[in-house]
Amino acid sequence: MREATVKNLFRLFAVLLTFGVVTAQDAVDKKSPSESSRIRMEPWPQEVLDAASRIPVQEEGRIKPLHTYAGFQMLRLNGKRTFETEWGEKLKPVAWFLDCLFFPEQAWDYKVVRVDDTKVVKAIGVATAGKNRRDRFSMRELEDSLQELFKQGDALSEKKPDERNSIETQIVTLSRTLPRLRYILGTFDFAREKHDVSGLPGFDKAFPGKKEVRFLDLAPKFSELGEGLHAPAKELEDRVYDLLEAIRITRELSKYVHFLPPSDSKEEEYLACSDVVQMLLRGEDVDREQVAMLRRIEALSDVRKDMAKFSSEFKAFSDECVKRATDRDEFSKIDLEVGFYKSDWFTRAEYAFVFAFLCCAFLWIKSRAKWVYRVAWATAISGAVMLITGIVLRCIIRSRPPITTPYEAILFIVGVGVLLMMFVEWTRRSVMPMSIAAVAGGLGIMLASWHEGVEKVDTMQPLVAVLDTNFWLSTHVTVVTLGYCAGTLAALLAHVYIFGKVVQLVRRRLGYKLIPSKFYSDLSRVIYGVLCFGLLFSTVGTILGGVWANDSWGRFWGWDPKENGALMLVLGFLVVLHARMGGYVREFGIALCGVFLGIIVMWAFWGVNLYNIGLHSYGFTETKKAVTIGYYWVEWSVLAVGVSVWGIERLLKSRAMP
Amino acid sequence: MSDIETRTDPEKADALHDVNASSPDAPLAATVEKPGKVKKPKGLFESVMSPLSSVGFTCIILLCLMVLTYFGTYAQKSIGLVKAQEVYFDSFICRINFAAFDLPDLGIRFPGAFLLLSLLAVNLICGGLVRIKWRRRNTGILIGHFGIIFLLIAGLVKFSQSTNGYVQLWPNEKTSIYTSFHEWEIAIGEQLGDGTVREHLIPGGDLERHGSFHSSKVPFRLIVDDYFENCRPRSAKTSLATNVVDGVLLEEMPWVKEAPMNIAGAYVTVHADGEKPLRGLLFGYDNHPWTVTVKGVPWTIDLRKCIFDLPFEVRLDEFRKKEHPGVSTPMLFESDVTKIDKGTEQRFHIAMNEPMRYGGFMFSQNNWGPQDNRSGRYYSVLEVSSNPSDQWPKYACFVIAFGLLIHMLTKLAKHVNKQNALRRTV
Repeated sequence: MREATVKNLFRLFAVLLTFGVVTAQDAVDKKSPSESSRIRMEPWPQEVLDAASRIPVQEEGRIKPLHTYAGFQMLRLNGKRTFETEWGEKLKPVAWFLDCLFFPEQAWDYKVVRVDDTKVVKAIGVATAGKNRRDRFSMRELEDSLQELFKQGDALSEKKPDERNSIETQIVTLSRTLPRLRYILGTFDFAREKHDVSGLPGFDKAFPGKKEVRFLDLAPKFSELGEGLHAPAKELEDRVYDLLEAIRITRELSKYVHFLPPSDSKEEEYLACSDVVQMLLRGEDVDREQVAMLRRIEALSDVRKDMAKFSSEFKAFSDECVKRATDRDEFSKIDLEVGFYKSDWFTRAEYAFVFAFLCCAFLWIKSRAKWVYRVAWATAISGAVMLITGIVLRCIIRSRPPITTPYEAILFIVGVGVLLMMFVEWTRRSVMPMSIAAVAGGLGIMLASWHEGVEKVDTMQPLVAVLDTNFWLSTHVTVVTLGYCAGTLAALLAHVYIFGKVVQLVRRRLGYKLIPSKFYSDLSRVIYGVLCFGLLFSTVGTILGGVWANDSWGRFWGWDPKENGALMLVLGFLVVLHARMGGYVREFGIALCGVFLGIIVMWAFWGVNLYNIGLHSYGFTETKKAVTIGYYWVEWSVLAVGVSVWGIERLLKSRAMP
Repeated sequence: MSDIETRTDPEKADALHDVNASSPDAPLAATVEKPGKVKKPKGLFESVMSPLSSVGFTCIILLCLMVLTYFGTYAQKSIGLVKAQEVYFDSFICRINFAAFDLPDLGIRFPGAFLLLSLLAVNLICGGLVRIKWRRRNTGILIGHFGIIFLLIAGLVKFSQSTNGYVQLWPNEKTSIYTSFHEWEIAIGEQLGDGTVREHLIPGGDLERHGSFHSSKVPFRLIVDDYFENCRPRSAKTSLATNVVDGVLLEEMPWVKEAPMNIAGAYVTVHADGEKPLRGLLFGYDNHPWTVTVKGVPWTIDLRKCIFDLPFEVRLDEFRKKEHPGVSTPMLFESDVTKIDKGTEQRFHIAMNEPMRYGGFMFSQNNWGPQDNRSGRYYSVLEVSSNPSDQWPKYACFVIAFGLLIHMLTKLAKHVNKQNALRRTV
């Protein structure tokens, strides 16, 4: 339904383009794409950026700070949260967003639209000479081909996602992403536009002596004056048509950003400028406060080139937005969220883990350097603390348990994995668990960032009705994810074991000193411990999931792919532990099983979503599909290497027998 | 920290770590017979119990379950959840569908989940409860095994005793029946004199086996000549074709993975002594049943989704739905219902994750409709299930968690103590 709404929005946009008025009536000055388009000559003052960051905006069902909103808009378009202008100014999302609102003439030339394959834009008729295969384009470079893009995007979206090739998928994605930029760029057009109404019937009387009228002056009188425009004189037909179209487009473009809290406390939907404009145009009673907000925007547009004046007026505007949200009790967590994103806890934690890993690597060479060991401990702990701080802050902002989305599940798995390995390190003091903690921490956070970049949607979205239960989210989801975490950790440890054995073979071949067998037996025992941990949590978590399903869907077990994935993991843990108990697998066998459990975790966590069936199926991107399949291939290869090494070991052992 | 030690004989190192692996921390089942002891011949009980209770048998069953789960899940891509459950998970023996993997059908039979779980229960009872040494250190394992057996029993009770369906109610509408989601039945309706109808039912499972159905209370035999899980009626160009009834024939369609899209159909013949056989065509979406007159008495024959009776009435008082502001993501949908049992009324609130339980039935919020309605008036769809073992999995979960927790904590404490002792020694 949501997709249909978005699609309709894009269709509407395409229709506007078909009329050819968007570009014709646009207030934007189309200069050549160069530094000459620079209008804002000084950087945004910090107080403006701070004030803008905390403006509450409603999007996708939740109220978030503009800092978050702009960040995800930029991530969607640009693939990252920074952008550098042609004159070398590095812009963060809020600064870029302010440029789009107040300096759109300049922002039209920002090359913020990332295209992974230039064949995509070539297919819609954009010149790609001098561009790399993956490059960034500005709105100005793409504007002439927008109509073709929407036409192709519309046609291709009829195809099933798995039947589209990579280029077609990218065309569909671009056709859905680009309108967002166009809407953002036109959000405050109403505040800048002036319309030539001289000679139009009735307008001379309404606006005596004025040749041009501002949009907000025109709008309240439009319903009354519009009557006279129904049958204009022939020589005025073109002008009337242009005026009507300009008004329509201005209203349309200002409908994307919802930042005006409704005055009625019972109303939940924030208004966009278009909502107020629409009421004005229709001559309806409009809340004066809302009109005053639009007037403030108009005033801001007037003083945009005088940064000192702009700063003070913008601060007042932001304060008003904050006050209105506070009155509705919707501002309490906005500042916390701004602080959370600004602090960037996860990236900091990533750096700490990388440093801890470097310390551990040093310890492999010089094992008796105690101070390095202490530094490694300190950095690994600080990484873990930052990671957990980030997770806890997210919980507070959302008033939810730690896992509600796959992104959060990755972070949680990483956090628990790191803590578990730190605990093992504390009990064994052998550097190896700490090395794994550091690797898991660094790679895991990298994976989470990658996931966020691929999904390109807010990671704090509101939950659907069935997930709206903190009790089950904190019991089933958390517990079963601990099981996944154990499976992943066991796989990671198993990799160390197998590659350690490969190194052992090479050292043996080269006649070097061998790694003591205690290293492997210790590692095997750690894997065993992790498997026990995993069995407990995956079993209890899976059954709890069934109990939840019973309350939600009226059945305990439905053999749904996601349920089967969880069951597979439980069965995997049980097989390995029983096989170990029965003596069917020993050290090496457990390591090989560990790798296999890693494959099961991937299958259960992401792989079953590829089937696109069942009650747990979520949208799955092509990139994720490629990564999942790639992971399977790599892991099966590791398993093959492991089995080969095991075979060689046995062969060598049998040859050495008297 | 791992020190690199010099070793002249690498083979010796491997021999050493094998010894480590069989330390108490890593128990191996390799039995070491004491010298001088004569092995007693096994009795019948022992001969049967030994393989059934072995860890090897456990591993084989669990591995088979893994394989089955994988194939069953993969098959859902092509045949959907309902069919895959029927073929792989509700069955004793199943046939692996290699066509789902774009491979030729090899016709390989594999134990179904019903068989495997039954074997697992036997294995658990024999090995995990009877033969296991009842010592203090095994307390956690024993409790855990008991919990799993309890869970399997709950599954068996659910499999054999439960019914599941839905009611669709507009506000102020009431009902005392619920309809199955996927199961079909043939209802033979007998017109009683007072205007009421007595129904004789042929369950869907029997229909698939075709054959002849007879009851002492029905004066004719009903023969199901053909039964299709999914079909569509179409008008026949010629009435000469064998399967044409009144100018219409049923065209068999392949099973589609969206189970509700499959509509059953059947060709049936009514055989009454001394009367000419009557051939009819039944289609699941027919608005009216097929009416036949046997010995001057009218009978109706209807192919429909199974209908179950409720021992009380349920009335929908109000249905509410709400979406997150600005998007179509549902925030909540809930129903206020009244249960009417022998004249007494009781109000209940049903929402996602908040079912109503009464009289052995559970009502949960399933859906609403019409989905594209803008008038603001909706009907509510409530899922109804009757399952005697409804809450057993929850209790099993507590038992298993308790057992595993005891076992893991005991092991962990032992391990940490051992490590500390080792460190002190060093």
